[in-house]
Amino acid sequence: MKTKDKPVKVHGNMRILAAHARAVSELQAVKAESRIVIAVIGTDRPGIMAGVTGVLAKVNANILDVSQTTMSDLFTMVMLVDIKGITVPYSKLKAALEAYGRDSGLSIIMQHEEIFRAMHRV
Amino acid sequence: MSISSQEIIETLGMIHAQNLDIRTVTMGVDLHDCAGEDVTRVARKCYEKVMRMAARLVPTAEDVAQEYGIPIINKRVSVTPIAWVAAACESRDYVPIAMELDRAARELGIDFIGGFSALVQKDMTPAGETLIRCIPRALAQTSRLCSSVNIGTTKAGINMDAVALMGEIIKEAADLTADSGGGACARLVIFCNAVEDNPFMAGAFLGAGEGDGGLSVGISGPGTIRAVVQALGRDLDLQLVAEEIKRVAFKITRAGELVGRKCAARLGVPFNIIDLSLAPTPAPGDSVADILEALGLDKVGCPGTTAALAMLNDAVKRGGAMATSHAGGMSGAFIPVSEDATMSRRAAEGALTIEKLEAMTAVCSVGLDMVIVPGDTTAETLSGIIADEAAIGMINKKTTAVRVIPAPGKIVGDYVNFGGLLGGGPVMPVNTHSCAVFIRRGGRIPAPLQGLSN
Repeated sequence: MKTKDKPVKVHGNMRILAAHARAVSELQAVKAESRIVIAVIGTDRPGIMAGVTGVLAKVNANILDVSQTTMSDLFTMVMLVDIKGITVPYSKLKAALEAYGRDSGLSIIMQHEEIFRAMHRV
Repeated sequence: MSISSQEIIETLGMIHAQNLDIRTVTMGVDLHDCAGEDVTRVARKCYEKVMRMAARLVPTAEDVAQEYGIPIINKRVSVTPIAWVAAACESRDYVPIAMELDRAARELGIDFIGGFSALVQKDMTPAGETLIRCIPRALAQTSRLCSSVNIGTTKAGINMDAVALMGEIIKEAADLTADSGGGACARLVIFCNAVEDNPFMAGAFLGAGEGDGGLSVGISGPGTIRAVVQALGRDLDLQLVAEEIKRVAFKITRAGELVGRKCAARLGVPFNIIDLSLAPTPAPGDSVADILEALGLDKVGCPGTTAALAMLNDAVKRGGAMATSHAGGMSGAFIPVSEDATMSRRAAEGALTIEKLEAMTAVCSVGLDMVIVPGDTTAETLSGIIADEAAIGMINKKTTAVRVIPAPGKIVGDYVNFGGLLGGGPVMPVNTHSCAVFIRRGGRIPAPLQGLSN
């Protein structure tokens, strides 16, 4: 579904993401290497959650936790996803999410959880 | 172990808003096994070995960068100093080797290949001197080859014959590339206490004992550090500022090491070192001088600059050293004038002088780097500049270097643009009183007491 909205820039909305990303931080069991963090920011409209989870479901990604908020018009979401059993290469999933983001006027960032661990644990 | 929301945000911010990137992944290729008597055959073997070992370097780095969302700006190769590789050659012309290395670089799609080098800190061998005399033509006829010469160490002293020769070599290289403003000199570094595992150019070469095929990473991130310093405000005391810089340096280093190890694993090669150097580029927001000015200096070059840089350099090293046990290379803050937009501007304004830069080299990790001087600067004066930098390095047991460009036909007030990562800068004034008699004496400045460390 196309929209004329331009993707909302990540830069100015870090604080908003922070407000609810707390919820995704408590997860166990699954090996860190197969976990990714997905952040979504954009203008709110019906179907964002369904759209993103749809892309993930199609490739058999397992959503471990989600936290989202809508403030005024701005939709923000952080998800922790296990991609151990995905049916496509990592790059294809990334491309699919980015394409969905472009079509829907959203900024979607996908990052290996490993990076966060490496940078924030002594 | 859980990652907090704040940490997620901070990481995403660094990567996506502050342009955190990895400046280079550099593969070291040992070329000792390419030695022989026929220089054409040696050149061919060097080409084939570099092509074979680095075949997957660029695609692998690009894949890993894509996956982790952290750009790897440059992919490079460093080789055994060619003066060693070519020592058995009957020919006194090593330029064919330079040409073949350059060809390999172009075909691999890497941006630089370093190691057309000689280590002559105590005395020059015939091969060392031959290599040195070939440098101007080798650089003039190539576009990606980098060259370096080590003319002193704390343990050996300073080889003043080599220093005198290098002044002439710089002039010759500049004259051969006058149409690019003396651009060959941007690919030539003269070192004291050169490090043997440096992944940055133009001074990279693969020293002895470094193995073969290992991958090193050069991190960067001046923009990230500047953002942190700016966010701390104007009143925070320096100890706390240093602490915050240290923490960011830790994170940057960890990100760099993770990505570097992934690259090495996928290439099936050992991970060598991570060089935690703050390396600027001409792009806006990527300036080391900006960090110094964010610390509270109106214009870099004013009093306080050396102290601020000392603090920054140390904080970066501390954070980096905690993050990894494989720190190496230069590891500190770089101050290349033409490659740092703010540094270049301050030099043009006259706020930053060569004399101040010389002081700064005593407390950071490189030397007088990418400094453009008048085209009529004499070889002896260039040698004097080299000797001064070498003395700072020798006495303080640190690496110093000179990468200076006497731009042919240019005078103070002119501006020279090299383009790309080499940037551009003003022609800086040099003290023109002569040191010719001092330089022509030659011989060796003996190793200082600091070298008697056993």
